Amino acid sequence: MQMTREEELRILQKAQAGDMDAFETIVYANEKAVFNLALRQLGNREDAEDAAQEVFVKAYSALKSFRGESKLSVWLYRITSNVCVDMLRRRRDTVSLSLEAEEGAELDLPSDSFDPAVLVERSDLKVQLAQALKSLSDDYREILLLRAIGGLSYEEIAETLSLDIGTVKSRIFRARKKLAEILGNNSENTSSKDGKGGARA
Amino acid sequence: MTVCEKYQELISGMLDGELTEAEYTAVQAHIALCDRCRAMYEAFMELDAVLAEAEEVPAALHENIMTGVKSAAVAKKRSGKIYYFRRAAAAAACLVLVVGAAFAAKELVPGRSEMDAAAPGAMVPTGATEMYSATIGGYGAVEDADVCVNTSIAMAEEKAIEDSVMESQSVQSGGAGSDSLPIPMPEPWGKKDPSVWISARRSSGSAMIPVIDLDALAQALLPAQENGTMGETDCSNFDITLEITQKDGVLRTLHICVTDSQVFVEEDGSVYPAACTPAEFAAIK
Repeated sequence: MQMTREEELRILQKAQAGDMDAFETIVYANEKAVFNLALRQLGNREDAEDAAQEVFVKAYSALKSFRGESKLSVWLYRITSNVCVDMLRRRRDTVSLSLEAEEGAELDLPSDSFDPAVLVERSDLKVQLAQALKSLSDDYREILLLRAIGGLSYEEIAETLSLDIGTVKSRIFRARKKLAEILGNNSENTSSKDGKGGARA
Repeated sequence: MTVCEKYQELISGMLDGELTEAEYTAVQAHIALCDRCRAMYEAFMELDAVLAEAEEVPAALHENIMTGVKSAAVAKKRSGKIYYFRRAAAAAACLVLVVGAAFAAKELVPGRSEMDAAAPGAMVPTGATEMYSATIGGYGAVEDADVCVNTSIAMAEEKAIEDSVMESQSVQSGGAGSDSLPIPMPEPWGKKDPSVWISARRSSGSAMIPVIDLDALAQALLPAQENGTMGETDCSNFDITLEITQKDGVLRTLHICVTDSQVFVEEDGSVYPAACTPAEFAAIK
């Protein structure tokens, strides 16, 4: 459900005044995106469902502190990111491969032999994408998903994560490239196993 | 970064609609000539398409969300103060707990000679009963954090805390379970004694902040006012992070912002002004 900015502010004011129906409208408008953002972050539906509930409970509790300066969705995605990062840290099962969260750390870029045109079949892609996402550090995954699923602009992401726009731009690119590399390599492996190696575009 | 890599970063920006007109034109000209960058462009587009493909939400998602929200609303309505109380209790219990640890480790509790309070695994000094009562067993959840454990939120109702205190007192007075009272101290404390530290991160990088008077810090982080609407602030520099792991494993993060005139505490986007002044806050760490 898409709301205009004016509609959003009007509903927000009602919700802030304690109108539960207005808050439910906010939930309706954002729950799908919040769930999907959490799903990509966490990798499984059960956790994503828990996260989505936690996000809206937290949002409800903190609603009065939201001043409406940014889009409501941006605020909700920020809470979603925080909830997911906390859940991942609790799980402590996230394996970070080459993407380092350290500020200023350089990301290994794909080798010259990588051919991005070789991507796996789309039907497999979603499954492999979920795995590939797990290989990104929390920071890189969060920033890419805020853009790709949340639809936040670089400026909004920079504000949300207290980063400068150059860092946002660089991290999104590196995360994209890393994912493309992983998926490309998976495809190559699959092709080799099938005896189809070399059939590269 | 090679010329192609520079263009590929621009391609990423182009997909996000973040290029200037001149950059857009340059990228278009480049990918028209460069097979590799065009292939990257196509790969990025496919990646974004798959990422953005929405999954079906669980059938009960909306209902579950609203059940949680309505429960929270009822709890909030039942006690107008509960939000601040819980928030304050979180910080206080966490920090007070560390005070207890300091006492245990440093034998700072006078008149407790019957307590073996010198080492990890020590008995709880009675003076710190309330501090520990809600936290025994909670340390197990902490593996590598340098932080205190707060459980008061997990059992946020005052009664639950009272019950816990009662239980602890009965244990200390020789009740059942006194043999199992050793406090499982988290490893970092053992390493860092005799100083007591609280985990803190600054935006400029990780740092450990030694806290001298934790009891004072706990008091300092209480809200400036007990009730009322959520505080608002223009403070944007919440550069001190206190991480608190609850008994139930929930990790809470408090961000502290110190302005010229006030100290603010933020959690999950909600902000309240702390009771202490910046000078008082600075004096306790």
